[in-house]
Amino acid sequence: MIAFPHLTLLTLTPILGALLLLTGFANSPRTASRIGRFFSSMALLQGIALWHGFKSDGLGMQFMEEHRWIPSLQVHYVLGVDGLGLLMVLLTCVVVPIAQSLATDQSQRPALFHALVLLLQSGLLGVFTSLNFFHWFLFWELSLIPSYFLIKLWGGPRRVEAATQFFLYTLVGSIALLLAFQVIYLATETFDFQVLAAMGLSGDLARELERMDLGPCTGREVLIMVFAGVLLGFAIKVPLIPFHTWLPDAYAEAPTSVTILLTGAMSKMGLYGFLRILLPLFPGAMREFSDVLLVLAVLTVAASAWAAMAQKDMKRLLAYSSINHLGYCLLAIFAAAGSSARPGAFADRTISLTGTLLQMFNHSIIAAAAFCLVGLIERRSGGQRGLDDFGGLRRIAPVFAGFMGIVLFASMGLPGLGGFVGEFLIFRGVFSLAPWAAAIAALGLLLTAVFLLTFMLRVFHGPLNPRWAGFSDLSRQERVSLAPVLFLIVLLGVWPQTVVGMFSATVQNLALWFSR
Amino acid sequence: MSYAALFEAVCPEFVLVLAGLIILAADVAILKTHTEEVRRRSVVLLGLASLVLSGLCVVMGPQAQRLANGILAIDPLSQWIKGGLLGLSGFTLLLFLDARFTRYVGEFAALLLFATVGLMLLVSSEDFLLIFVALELTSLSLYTMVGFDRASRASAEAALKYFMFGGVSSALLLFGLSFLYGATGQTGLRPIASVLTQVKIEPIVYLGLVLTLAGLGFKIAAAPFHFWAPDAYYGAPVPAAALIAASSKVGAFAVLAKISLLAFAPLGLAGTSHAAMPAWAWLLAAVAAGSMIWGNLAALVQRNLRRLLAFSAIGQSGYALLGPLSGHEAGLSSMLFFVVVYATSLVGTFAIIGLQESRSGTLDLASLSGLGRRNPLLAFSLLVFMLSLAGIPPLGGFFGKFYIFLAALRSHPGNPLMVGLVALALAMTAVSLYYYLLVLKQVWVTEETPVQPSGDRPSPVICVAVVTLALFVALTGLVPHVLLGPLHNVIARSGF
Amino acid sequence: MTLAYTIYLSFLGSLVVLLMPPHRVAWIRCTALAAATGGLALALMGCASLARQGFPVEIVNVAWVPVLGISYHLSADGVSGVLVLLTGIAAVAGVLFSWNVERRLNQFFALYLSLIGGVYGVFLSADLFLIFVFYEIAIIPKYFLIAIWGSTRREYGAMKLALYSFVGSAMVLLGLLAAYVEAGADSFDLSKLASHPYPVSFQRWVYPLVFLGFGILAGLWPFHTWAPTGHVAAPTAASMLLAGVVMKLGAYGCWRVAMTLFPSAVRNYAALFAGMATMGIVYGALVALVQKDFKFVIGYSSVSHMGFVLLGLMSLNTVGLSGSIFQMFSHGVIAGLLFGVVGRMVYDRTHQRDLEILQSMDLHRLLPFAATTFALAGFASMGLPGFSGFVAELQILIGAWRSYPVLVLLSGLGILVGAAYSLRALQKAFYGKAWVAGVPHTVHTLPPMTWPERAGALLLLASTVVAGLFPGLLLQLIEPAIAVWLAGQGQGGGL
Repeated sequence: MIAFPHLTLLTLTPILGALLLLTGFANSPRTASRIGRFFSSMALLQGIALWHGFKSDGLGMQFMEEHRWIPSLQVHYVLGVDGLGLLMVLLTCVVVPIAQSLATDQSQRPALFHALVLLLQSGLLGVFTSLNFFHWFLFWELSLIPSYFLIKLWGGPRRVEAATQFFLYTLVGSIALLLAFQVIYLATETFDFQVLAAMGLSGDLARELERMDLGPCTGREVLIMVFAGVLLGFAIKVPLIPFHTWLPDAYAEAPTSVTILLTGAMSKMGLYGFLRILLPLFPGAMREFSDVLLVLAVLTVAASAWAAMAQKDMKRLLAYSSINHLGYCLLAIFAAAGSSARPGAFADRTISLTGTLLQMFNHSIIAAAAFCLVGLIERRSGGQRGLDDFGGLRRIAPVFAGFMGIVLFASMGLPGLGGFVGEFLIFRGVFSLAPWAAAIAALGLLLTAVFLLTFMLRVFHGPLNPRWAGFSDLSRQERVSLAPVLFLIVLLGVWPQTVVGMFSATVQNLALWFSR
Repeated sequence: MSYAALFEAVCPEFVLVLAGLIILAADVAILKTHTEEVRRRSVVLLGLASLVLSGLCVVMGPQAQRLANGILAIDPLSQWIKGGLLGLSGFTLLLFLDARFTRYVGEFAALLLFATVGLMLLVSSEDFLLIFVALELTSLSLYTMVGFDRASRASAEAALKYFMFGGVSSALLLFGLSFLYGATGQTGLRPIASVLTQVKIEPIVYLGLVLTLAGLGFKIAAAPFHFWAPDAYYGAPVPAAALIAASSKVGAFAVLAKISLLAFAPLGLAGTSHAAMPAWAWLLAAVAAGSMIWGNLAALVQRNLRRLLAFSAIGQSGYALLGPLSGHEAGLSSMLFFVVVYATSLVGTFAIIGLQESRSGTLDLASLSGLGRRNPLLAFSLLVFMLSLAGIPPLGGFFGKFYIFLAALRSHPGNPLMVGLVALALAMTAVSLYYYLLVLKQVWVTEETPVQPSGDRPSPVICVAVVTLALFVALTGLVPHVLLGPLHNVIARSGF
Repeated sequence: MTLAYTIYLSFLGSLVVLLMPPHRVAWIRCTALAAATGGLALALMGCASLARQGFPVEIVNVAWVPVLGISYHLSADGVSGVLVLLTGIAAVAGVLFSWNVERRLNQFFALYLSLIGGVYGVFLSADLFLIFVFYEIAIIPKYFLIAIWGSTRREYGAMKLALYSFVGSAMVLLGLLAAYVEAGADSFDLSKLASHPYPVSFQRWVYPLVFLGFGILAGLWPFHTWAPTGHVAAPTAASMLLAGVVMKLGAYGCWRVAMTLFPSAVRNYAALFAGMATMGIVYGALVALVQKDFKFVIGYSSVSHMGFVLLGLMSLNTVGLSGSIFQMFSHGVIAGLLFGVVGRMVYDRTHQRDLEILQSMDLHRLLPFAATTFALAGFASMGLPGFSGFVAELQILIGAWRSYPVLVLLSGLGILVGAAYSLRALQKAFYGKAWVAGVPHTVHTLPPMTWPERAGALLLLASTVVAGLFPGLLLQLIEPAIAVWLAGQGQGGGL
């Protein structure tokens, strides 16, 4: 146990910023935005420091903090990160500044806006570092509130319905999680993730659950019920079809900087949950249902890509594209969880999971950048963002088109840019583990290319739409704020080792797990 | 039996009779030339003095004596009850200070004293003959007092109804007594009991018992003998109504309890803890239940405070009847506690009614509105009285009800009749809360409509009296032992 | 001993305030606040000493009516301490939220403080007669508070509340008397009566009688109908007390009297009452969802939350029972907060409770403090972690899982609907037209937020957050008391 509470400090930093903003000193957009970015950069610095201090070959949790909290309920304050956690933390710390950069001129209640963003960041950081259900769930729910208000107060015309739908939908998942964990607590008398993971691995958890007698459900039914509850909670968050219906509205109606947060960070909460909780606790059940889940994942990939093709609204198009990309992650996870006793299975699992984590990181950055650019379009067009509203912008805003092109191509998976490595590894792994799934999902790749290229062509190529003759190119400031992101995208495409090294040990561990 | 002993025994009553005559004489002779106000005050003063003197005689006189084979039977309990009666009559007499319904003040005060004498004799007797005579003395005085307001049609109507019902009930009582005498050959309560234990009990005894109860039931205004009550309470002048509601009730219940404990003991009700109860107890239970239901339900729709009080009195009689049903000492003490506190509340309430009537003429509930602001002291006292009647702690009425229900359940544990009666009583208590709160709502909640005549300030003496009564009611609730202790004491010493 | 002074201080304060002339508004308010704060301070000190020294603690035991075995017997254990603390917090908050009452102020605070005193008394009594006396003492001040200072249909609401409460207590009285007689009729002491083994057939009819009698006041479905009407009719401080504390009297009575005296019947009826409790959770939530009146939403939400309390009581294990007591505390504070916002902050200024009309007022702009407070209170009410409601509901549901899994799933539905109605109310009342430019507002200014309102809101918010983040503070008092109680239940009776 390390004496210095790095992780607590990390989680608290944005909260401090939020409190400062809420006291009402900073009421002008510029000051509020500056304070917001200050605190998120502090968090970023701490994240990098953590990365620096992280031992890449170490197994188990690092930077752990442990305190007694509510002894009678076996609730303890336990924090720690492994490779996966660290990756998520860094991801959050990178995405939030991107979102904030789009909101520098937020003039409606700027202090509240930036405070909510910081609170959201805190919630996310808390989720990614907590190792006891009680405060993990606290942060999980805590992230709901700022996002609800961010959508509802600053969003588009149908923001109220979108926000309420988002909140209630996610809450259903949360309640399912809560009820399932209550049963787990009853069976095992603990809320600690590490203990539960060990129990899940050794099969004790399954046995304990099957021993429970809950009225109409007994034995295996209890195990299945609990598994389903936890699955539901995360499936809604990612999302997995058919639990995705909240997403397009939420993404579209949210102000674009908030959409960046939603897609860049909050969606990863669900995937994190799969990897940190669902898989370690229920390996047997995952193996059993992996086929069904694979089907759903494939459906997610394919259907979302198909739907994206029909979208006319840029944000909705990108929203469906997000579902699509996250579907690849799910594909890899479910494939890795499947039963396969082939000798090379371990390596394939490792590859799939590495791809998943890479994809998570890359997608966040790429999607953030994409939405950021769409936000810039909106800003210039006064809110318009239909595909057909524009045309030929390349001529008058070449740099813009260039940036957009890099981002969209990265999203498509062009080699040399970030998205490629992740997708490649995923497909490589899935193809060995579940070839049919890979084959169908590959269709998704094709469709993705189609709609993204369409996007590019409709908006930037073709005849110039005379309405936008005054469309200005990227300003210096915008270029400066976006350049690092693009640099990162390229870097990760060319040299993924940067991040892979961080989590390779964790991935190996996970893969080992599934091989048992 | 020497006349000296007799005189000692009836000294309290004698004092009152003498006082009554003196008042009559004084009013006719000496005070003729003075104003009505002066006459009224002197008469009341004389009456109070006599009541106090009589009380002294009660305290200092013999505490245990039986004369003429039980016709006059003095024991600590009867002395205690007499003390209570004197106190209640004293407060009732005070109400006369403010009432301006007649100029025959001397006669009215004398009648009040005579009625009190009747009640006192009632509780000191263990022989049906004297009981009947005393009852008649009280009733005749009360009939007259009820009709004393010559200017009011309601008063005359009330008096007439009261007289006719009363006459019938006296006849029924006498009829019953005669059957009992025929069956046992005795008129004394204890001798009757001893005869009944030895002889086989014939149906005629039950007939006598039922008729006796009917006659007494009238006096306590129990259903179905209660029809005179609403009109009497409504039409009678305030002091008369107060006397009917308070002292008369106390006396009547005391004698009812005595009769059921002493005379009817062999019939298997009082003093036993049988799980099964004799058939005639069902009759008493039916009367109790009927009173509770009828009284409370009818009170719900009343818009006149006096009628509301009348019906609530009927209901309260129903609760009090649980006492004789319980039998033995717990039933007796609980009933007496309950009735005394109840009587105190009613005297106080009638005092306030009197003050209100002299101010506004009518007594619709609506005329009470705003009393809380006009005269907070009186309004607060009314709050105490109403809540005590409703059975809200920590007031005396609550403890009285509690104790009566407790005694009922304790005396016949597990008996479904008792449990059912107590349950019914509790339900009816809940119902009663509604109309008591209606009264209080008028007093405290409703704002006064501006078009009220202001009237004179209420007499300070009466205000002090009201507050004293309210304090008493509150005290018996907070520290019931104050009343309960002596009560248990005297009951034990009287051999019940 | 300090805990008993809460009772005396409240009644003394009531008397003092009553005797003050009505126009001396400042004196009256300060005296009332002093009495309430004094009570809270005493409660805190009392709880601290309970935590240090253990319990149960005998406070006073004096014979009152020796003939009947009635004594003035006060004692405290962990549960009483927590509930007394709740009463103290709610009392102070209520006084603060009533700072703007002007009419007949001395009577208002006199009634308020005597109600508080009665409530303190119930939580500290260890003699059945005494519990009953304090329980009934509380009825009359409630009636007058609502009838004189209330709003919509106040006289009807007040009468309904008084009668329902009285009927409930009549049922309880019958049961108490039966138990007393059955146990030998010599003492009303709770522990003595509890240790008497009542025959099973006896318990079978007395237990539901007493439980339902208390349950009426606790808002047990389907006897809850007085609650929304009464709460809506009542003035703010009274609603806060009614929903916050008085309903807990009923639940406390269910536990401390009914369940303690008749252990074997408890098990027989547990499933039935748990089902009714769950119906209350779901029904209350569903009805709250469709209300047009802001205050009715909160009123029905109280019914729903009390359902959780009762469900927890029926779980009959340490976790569930602790959760139930914790929920009593939690909901007491949260309900106070909700009614404070709806009644004092919104209604007293806008004289509107219709959500459709409020929607056009854009209140978050005019009353930002109220909007934030209500949002936080709404989240607390939903059971979001970080607030006390989450810990309570977590424990209750864990406790209930073993015995009533189906009911737990239904309660989960209740939580979801709870979120829905809270959001709906929040949305309609405060964020009707969140700064859509160019739309004219119907109201341009409202009186600003006063310091007592802020203080009251902050006190309540702090309580729920502290309890939510550091539940151990309360659980250290609750759990040992519950453990002792459960141990006693194993034998034929006992505390």
